[in-house]
Amino acid sequence: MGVTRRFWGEAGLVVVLAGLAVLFARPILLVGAAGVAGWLLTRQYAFVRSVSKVSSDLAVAQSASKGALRVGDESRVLLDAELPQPAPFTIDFEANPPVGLEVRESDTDEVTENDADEVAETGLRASLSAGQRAAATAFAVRCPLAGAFEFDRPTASVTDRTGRFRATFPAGSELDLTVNPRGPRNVHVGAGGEAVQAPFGEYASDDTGPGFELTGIRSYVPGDEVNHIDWNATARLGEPHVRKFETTTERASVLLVDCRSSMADGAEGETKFDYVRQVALAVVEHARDRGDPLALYAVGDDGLLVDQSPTTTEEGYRLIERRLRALEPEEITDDSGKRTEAISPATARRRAQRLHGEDSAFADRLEPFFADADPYVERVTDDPLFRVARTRLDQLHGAVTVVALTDDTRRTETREVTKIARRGDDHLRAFLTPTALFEDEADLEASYDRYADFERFRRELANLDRVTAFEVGPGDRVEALLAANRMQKRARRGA
Amino acid sequence: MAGHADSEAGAERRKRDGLTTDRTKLGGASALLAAVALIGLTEGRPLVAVLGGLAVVASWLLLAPTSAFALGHVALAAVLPANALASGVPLELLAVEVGLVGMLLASATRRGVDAGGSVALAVGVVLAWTFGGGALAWIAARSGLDLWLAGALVVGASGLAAYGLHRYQLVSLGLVGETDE
Repeated sequence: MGVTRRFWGEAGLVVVLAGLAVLFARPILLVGAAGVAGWLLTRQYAFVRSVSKVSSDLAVAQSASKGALRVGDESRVLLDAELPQPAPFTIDFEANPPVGLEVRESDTDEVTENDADEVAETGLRASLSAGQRAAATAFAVRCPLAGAFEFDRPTASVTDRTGRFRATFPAGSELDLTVNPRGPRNVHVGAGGEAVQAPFGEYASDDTGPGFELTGIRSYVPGDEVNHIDWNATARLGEPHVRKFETTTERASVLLVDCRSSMADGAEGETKFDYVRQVALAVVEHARDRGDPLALYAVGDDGLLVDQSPTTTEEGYRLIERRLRALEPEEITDDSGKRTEAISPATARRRAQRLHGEDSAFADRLEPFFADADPYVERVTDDPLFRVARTRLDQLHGAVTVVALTDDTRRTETREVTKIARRGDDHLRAFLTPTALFEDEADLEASYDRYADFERFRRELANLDRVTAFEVGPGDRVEALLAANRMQKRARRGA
Repeated sequence: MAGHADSEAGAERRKRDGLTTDRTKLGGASALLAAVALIGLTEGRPLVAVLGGLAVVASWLLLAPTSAFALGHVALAAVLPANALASGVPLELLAVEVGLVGMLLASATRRGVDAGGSVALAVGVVLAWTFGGGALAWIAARSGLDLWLAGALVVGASGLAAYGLHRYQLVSLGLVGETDE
């Protein structure tokens, strides 16, 4: 309990009167001191009783529109106080948001419509005037950092009606708010809209030899080892048979990660690269479980960003994980923000031939450009992903599985990378982020068309030998596009 | 005009905060009674008594009943001789005390002020403290008790009671652990 200057003035009066009584030897002044003191005690007792009753009757509720939100999101917090009887004095309430949350005043109209009829105030404080029974306030909180935040119990402050005493006490309960970091949600890895459960699964090997996995039995031929003879099968079939085992080979995985500006498409924390990063981290985990050698090459717009040679050590895996987490896609440096795509050799030749057959001023004008140089060779050679694939993959020995993580904006270059990555016995697993899944496009039909175009591209890659291609993106966006397409088809059938 | 606007704004603020004054009609009547009884004191200095009576009414109007009560006792001390209580309590003095204590009781029990639910208790505490102070003063006047000790008793007992109430409130609001640390 606190007291005001008014109280101290009257308490001082008691002391002064008692002092004067002693100083001037006037006992009658003691009566004055005792009377003022008794009166003050009466007021204090009355205040204590009132505050105790109010604190036990007072119901203060603190609630948030969203208990869990993501970094940068807003949540509206409502502070609602109610008394069963009219307040004997003015009660001021104040919410106590934790440090780290940004508080801004909420829109009163919005709050009134949605949450309570009597929200007349905005901000952290509400006031329940003497004689009233309810008060409420609302405010919005936004958090720039992730973590668990706890609002302390709201504080109620009261002053007695004669302005001598005041008290501050906690009322209501705490409020917990969880702020999650922005990041990919519902990561979809699949093909044609269907999710794939184990995209990093075992790699089939055509060889048989020493190993642990039994692949079958065959007749004994001279030269087979005696300890490979399957005695049960030999007894059953009447002639010697031996067991065949699948050869266990150590296959190095190479993460080829595209960090170019096109990978920055999408909302903050949910860019193409953020989704691809999740896949890359899963590949690292998979390699660690199997003890496979793993390399990391990250490519930016101007060349190689990370060059991590194959490693099988725990430290190496951790280093790759750290680097993956630290990587960010580059920002678009071109003023127009527009990306250009190379054309394939076949297309270039086709266009040149078509131009050759043309007999127009326009064709005459263009022909020298096609005749003098093959723009494709320059362009693809300049492509950093292609350049890195060509230079780095050639240096690796043994069986390699390239895990390429990129998008669908430079399809020609991706095709060329595919050719390099599946040389010899090497495999390629391409994880591609369809641009259609990262657009703010409200027109789902148009987005679906682009998604369908991507799917054709993905199938084109997946149909190649030793190539597996998956799509990576937000699962809810994939579902929305597929649902929009289904509805469109139904509408067409109905018409 | 500006002063009028300020007083209106102050009244509005007091109304919003539910603040009330300590003055009542009964308190005013008591103040008048005390002033008249003070002026009518037969012994002592009549001019001082008149000034004291006016001061009681003025301080009740302009300040608070507690100030009027204190001023009334200062006036009594100035008017009455030093050994006034030694030979007994004169009837005029009782009349002044009735007026002064009436002022306090009127404000302590006024409607609209949170009396904590018990008017009788408020009256009881005010009367008990005043009579207690009076008893100590009478004993001190008869040389049964040192005056400084009587003064210390009044101040000490009041302080102790106020602190006890303060602690009681901390306990009832569940703030003991937080404030003790």
